[in-house]
Amino acid sequence: MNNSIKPLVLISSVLLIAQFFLWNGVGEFWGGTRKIKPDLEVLPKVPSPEILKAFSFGDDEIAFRYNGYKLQFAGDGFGRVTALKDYDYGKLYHWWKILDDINHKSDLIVYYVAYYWSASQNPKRDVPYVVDFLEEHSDKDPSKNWWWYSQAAYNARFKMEDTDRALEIAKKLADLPKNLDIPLWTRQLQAFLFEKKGEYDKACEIILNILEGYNQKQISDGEINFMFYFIQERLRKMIENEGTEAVQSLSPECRVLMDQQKAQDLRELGKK
Amino acid sequence: MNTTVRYIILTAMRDWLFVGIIFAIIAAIFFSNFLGSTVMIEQNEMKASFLSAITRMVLIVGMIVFICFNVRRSFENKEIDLMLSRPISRVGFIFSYWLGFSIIGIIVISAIAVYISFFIKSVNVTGFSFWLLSLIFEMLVINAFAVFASIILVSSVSSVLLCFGFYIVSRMIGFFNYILEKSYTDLTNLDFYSQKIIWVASYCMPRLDLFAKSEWLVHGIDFSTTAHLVPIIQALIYIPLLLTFAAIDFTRKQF
Repeated sequence: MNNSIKPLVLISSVLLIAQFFLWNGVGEFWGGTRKIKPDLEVLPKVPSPEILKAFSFGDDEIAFRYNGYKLQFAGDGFGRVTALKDYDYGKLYHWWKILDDINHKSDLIVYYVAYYWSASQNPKRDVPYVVDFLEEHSDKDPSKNWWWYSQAAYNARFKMEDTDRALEIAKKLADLPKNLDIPLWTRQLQAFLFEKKGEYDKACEIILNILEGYNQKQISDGEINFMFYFIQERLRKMIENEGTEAVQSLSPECRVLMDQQKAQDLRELGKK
Repeated sequence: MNTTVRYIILTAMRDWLFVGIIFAIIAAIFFSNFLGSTVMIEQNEMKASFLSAITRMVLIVGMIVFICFNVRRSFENKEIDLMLSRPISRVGFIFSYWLGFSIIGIIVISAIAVYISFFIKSVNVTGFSFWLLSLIFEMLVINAFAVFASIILVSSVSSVLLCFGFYIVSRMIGFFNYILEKSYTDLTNLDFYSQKIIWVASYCMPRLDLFAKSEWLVHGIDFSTTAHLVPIIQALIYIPLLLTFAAIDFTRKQF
């Protein structure tokens, strides 16, 4: 071997040995790079609003879209799929909030939350975050976001099984301006929830208020028929099944409506 | 002046700049379409946002690199000496150089505008008009800075790096302002003077973070504020300022 190459061969041999120990580790002193695994975290850490703004380079929309896009695929990658129950919903909630603060006009995040993240296999633990976010997003522009209030109420009622929480949200829906062109069921939602809770008097009052508060031309015949049916048939039968206590709390108007129907039913029974 | 402008456009054709930038923009279109189509909802909004950000980056990087290398090469090849032998003032020379590069930039932006107006659905028309105008002004400011940097510096690589630094800081200056307005305690001397430097710099830098916002394409312009007018005023102040600085340096150069 040429004398001038010998030192180079020696140096490269030492470096190769060093590379081996760097990879493999040296006893207690160094664990080795082979033990350092890629960080396959389900969700990236939530940045502060300042950092998000700084790296948007003045274009908040692209920061919103890029991070929203990342959030859509968070937890999935390299053939790995994460069940929704395994996500940290506390962390997710902060992601939703921070992105919604950048752009609350977009439906991107709220859509993911209502139709994707709400499907957690552990609803009691995770869905409260969903309901809180849907409500907070809707509060930013209630008239435009009425649909998301209804989604929040739905999740509270059927996934959290918390009727009181659903009622809080349903009240916000019912209190939206009367001239807003939204379906009538959004105003009736509280009545159905009160019915579920067994508070028939309140359910009846809400339906009566809708009948009185709206111009009759604004309500279709089918809708009016349903509201009368709701009071005179559904509520009446529930009240009759539950006895005198429920009857006592009814308002005179509700009682009159129910008695009318009861009299008619008896007449029809007599004819038969 | 016309001859110099025509010469700049000719050099752009000779350098295959148009071809390069158009290819990059086509790649940006494919990329943003691909990303936008994989999102669950608001696909068009996603495409518009990504396209706006990527094409802006392609345009700015392309113009900076082209201007800096073109001007330095013209110095080294003695093309500038030759041009100055004609009856043209040095101030006029700087202006016509900037104008030539700007015409190239406007041609590229027109291609982007044609694509967005025909192929991206649900773009807000008013927002799009302001975005386009604002992107042109942003390109004009950057062109002026690139001409200035390549005149004052002898290395094209240094000019490119200076332009990138200027562009990034100008796009972050709004954020720096926001941070400076917060009160901090327990500052060391170094922290204190660093803040002061940023504070002084914020007075001198243009607010490029207020230019060509992608949200204008998606949600339109918020006319309750005057933020959408800032790009026009800022460009009207900053372009002549940079061209004047470049002209001062160029006038003092000995050939």
